[in-house]
Amino acid sequence: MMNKLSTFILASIAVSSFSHADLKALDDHEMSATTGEGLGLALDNFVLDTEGAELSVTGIRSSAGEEIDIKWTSLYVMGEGSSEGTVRTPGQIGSYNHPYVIRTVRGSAGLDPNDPLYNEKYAQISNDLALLELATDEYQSDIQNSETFATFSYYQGCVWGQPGCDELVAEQEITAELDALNSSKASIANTYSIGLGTLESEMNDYYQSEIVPREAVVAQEQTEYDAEVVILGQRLNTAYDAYEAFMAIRPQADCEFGDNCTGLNGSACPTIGGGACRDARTAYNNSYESYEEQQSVRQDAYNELIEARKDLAFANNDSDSFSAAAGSYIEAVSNVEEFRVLCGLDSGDFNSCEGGLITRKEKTKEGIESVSVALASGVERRDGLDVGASFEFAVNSVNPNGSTTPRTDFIDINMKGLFVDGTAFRLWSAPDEQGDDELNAEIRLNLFIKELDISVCDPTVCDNDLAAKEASTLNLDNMFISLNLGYGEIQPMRLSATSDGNFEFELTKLRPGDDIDTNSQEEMQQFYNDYYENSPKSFISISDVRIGNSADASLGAITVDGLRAQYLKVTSRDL
Amino acid sequence: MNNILRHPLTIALTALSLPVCSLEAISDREMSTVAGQAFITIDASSYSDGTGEWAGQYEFTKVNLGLDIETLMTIDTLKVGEFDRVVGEDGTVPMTDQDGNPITQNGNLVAHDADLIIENFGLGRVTDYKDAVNADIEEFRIRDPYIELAYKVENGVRQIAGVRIGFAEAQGWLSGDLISLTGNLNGRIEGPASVVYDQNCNGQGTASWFQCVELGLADALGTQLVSTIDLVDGAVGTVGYSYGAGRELNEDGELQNPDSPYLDVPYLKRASWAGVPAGRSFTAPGSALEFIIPALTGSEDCTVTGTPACFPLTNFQSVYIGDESVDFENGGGATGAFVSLQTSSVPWEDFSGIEGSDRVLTQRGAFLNIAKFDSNSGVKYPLNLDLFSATNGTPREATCVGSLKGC
Repeated sequence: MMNKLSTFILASIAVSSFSHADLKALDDHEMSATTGEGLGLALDNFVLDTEGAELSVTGIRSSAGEEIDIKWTSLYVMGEGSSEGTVRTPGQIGSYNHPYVIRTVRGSAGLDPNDPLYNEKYAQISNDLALLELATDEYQSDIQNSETFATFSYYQGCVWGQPGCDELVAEQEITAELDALNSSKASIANTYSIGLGTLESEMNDYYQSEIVPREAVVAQEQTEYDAEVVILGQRLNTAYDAYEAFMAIRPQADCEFGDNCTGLNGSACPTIGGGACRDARTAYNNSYESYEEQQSVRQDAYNELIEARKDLAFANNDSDSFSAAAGSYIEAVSNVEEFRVLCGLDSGDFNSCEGGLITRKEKTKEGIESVSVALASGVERRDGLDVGASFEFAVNSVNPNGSTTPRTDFIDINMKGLFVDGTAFRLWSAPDEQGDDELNAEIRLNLFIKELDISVCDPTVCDNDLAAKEASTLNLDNMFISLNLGYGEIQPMRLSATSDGNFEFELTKLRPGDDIDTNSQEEMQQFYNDYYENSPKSFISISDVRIGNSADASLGAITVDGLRAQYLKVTSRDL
Repeated sequence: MNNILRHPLTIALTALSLPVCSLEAISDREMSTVAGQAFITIDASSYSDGTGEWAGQYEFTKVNLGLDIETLMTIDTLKVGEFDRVVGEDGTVPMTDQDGNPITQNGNLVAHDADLIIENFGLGRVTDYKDAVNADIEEFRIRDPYIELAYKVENGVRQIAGVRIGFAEAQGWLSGDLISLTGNLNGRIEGPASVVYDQNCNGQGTASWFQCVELGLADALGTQLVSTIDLVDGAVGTVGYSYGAGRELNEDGELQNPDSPYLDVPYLKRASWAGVPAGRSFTAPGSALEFIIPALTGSEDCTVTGTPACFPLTNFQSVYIGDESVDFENGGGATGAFVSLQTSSVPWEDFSGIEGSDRVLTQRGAFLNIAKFDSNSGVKYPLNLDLFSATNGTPREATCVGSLKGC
């Protein structure tokens, strides 16, 4: 096997700061604050290239149970600029100043923020818990920090440094977005002549006095209507059973279900010995009449339900009924909710805006400005890695008529300029509901790829026709995934396995700490507001998706901005 | 072994529970029930029966993930397919304000800047959201999500034509400010004939005396009016105003919307209104007036005999995916929901279970399919409206504790 790890240098760095001066024994207090400090790791001039080696992957099947033959035909990891792995370019994984680290640290919850041992990253984990952290390189500089640079790149809309992408426009884009948000905020604030607190108080009064009673009436009418529908169904069944019983006795009767069956319309019973027939006929006629009566009752119940709904809709939507004199109650609800989206859930005043989307976007703008200034001053960003892999799948393709045809799928993935700085996995042990220890975790994953190219063309065709290959390749520019799962002990991520061999991943429901009175509305609402304001959200963005490189082949950007799972449970199952 | 490493490798993704406490051996009997779980399968298929722009050779690869997911998830802004479209081309509708007035720039109609724009998106809901002590989560449930790639093969060259993410089953509340929608949002609107009568025949409205007589009769008979609703063009005064995509035919197969500019498009792009498209009528199934009502209630200019028939999507910030009356475990989940992105036209397989459905025809750009589906108890729609509340809207389901949205 000709796999090569060229110039492989492993450097371990003690991250602890230590002194070459006198060594002194630590007292118990100092010792209690000490943790194992960890190990740093950097790979310099790194190249991995399988150079044609193949790996077969088995165990994956189709829904029909057929084994799928998967071949992993190539893999390379090189420095940026390797021309899809064809030019052996050494890369860096961490550095002496910015190593990857494995360390154990104590949580910071309970420590004074001025305490030298306090670290905001661990602020949601108790100081009496030790956690294991695996973290990639970190950068304070906005231009080197991939999170801020990726955000800049998204607003820039193109891969910085590529032909045609040398004019700084990101700042204008974020400014325009922020202006629109501020305009929406001002529009809502200008709608009302009263303060936010007064408006909310009026809304609450109106809700209690006008909406709640009407909702109760609607619920009551709905219950009554549903009950009448059930009775209607029962009577219909009874009538049909009676009809069938009659027809079983008198099959020659010329009477359809729904008719009033009499001797005058072809449903005569024998004069002699026809007692059972007449009884059955009467039973059917009576039961059908009862069904028709119930139809009328049901219709009355429906009409009352409609009237109740109309009355509720009127209270919600009538401008004159709501005293704020600036639209209806439902409009006020919408406006207040929108204002909170823009300015934070803690908002108490139309004139202040210290949280929410506007504050978050202002911070984004600061980062973009910082990157723009650095780039304009000629500061260069470091290179990332090039990573590529190719696969072949031998599958049986199902045709529309159900027959199958053997087919080979190819997929060739090339990532140009990949960065993972700012990523961390934190693990700790904590008791579960039963008091047993379980593994808790928190993930901060940053993945930024300047250019991701995916080709599915048969290499025997496209390797000989590079124009066709380029025209059929899917290109994703500035792909950034910032995945933040878990928020310390308030919302840990739990990993476990079920007794039948499946895995279970859970982002738990929120867990208030012991210092919060869970029976207090104020404390619980503040707890939720703190979580909403401070726990990190996740982001996924791609600044451009296109096939080939022609301008009209672009599908533009994809944005998932501010994703948060307040609860998530994923359990695998056998397909 | 020259350059070939051939190891049968079973990828077993086994999540580790790390019991820090004591480990106990499992018995042979317990062990016998444990198996490597095949939670990933890959299916390949092909399709070449399409016509028009969907003609040609398509191949598909679908990766199925055997997962049960329960979640309450929110996204501040979801935007897909942010590229230039020209109003009037490919079914692209004009952007409007909340009242339906078209928005122009330099005198030209403009469209929203992305195919899908959903703000304050949410899956699942918070019950008792104003009560921080007792508020609880009602999860959105998903079973067996999948990712599918579509390839188009032309002149022997294979290229990615689209990708979609969907769910075998999904159930729960989906919320969001639907700013721009491209795809299918199927709904159903119903109400008593009295709503139409009251709004048109009590000294107001535009219905003729004859129509009022018929509507009055329908009202007296307790007639229920029903229509399906879809995305429509809500830009007042423009050529496409009140039209939906495709052809509206009456029972005799006669075209009811011959002037629609969207006759030949499979769905509208960047729509922000839904309603009863021009040319479509209400029906009164099971009523004595079943054959009269359609003639009285044809939709035109976003009204049905004077009653508003088009509504801004932002009026409806929550839709229920699935059958609310049936548990998820008993088949209450909706089938066929997906979101996709196409570089060219793709005929995706339709998993809605609706009789006669075969392919969902999509074109370049993003596509959201929140469509009707067949449950055990008949065809279900994600959007269900009453005639009297559709115009005004319904409140959003809360996705936060303390507020409806914004967290």
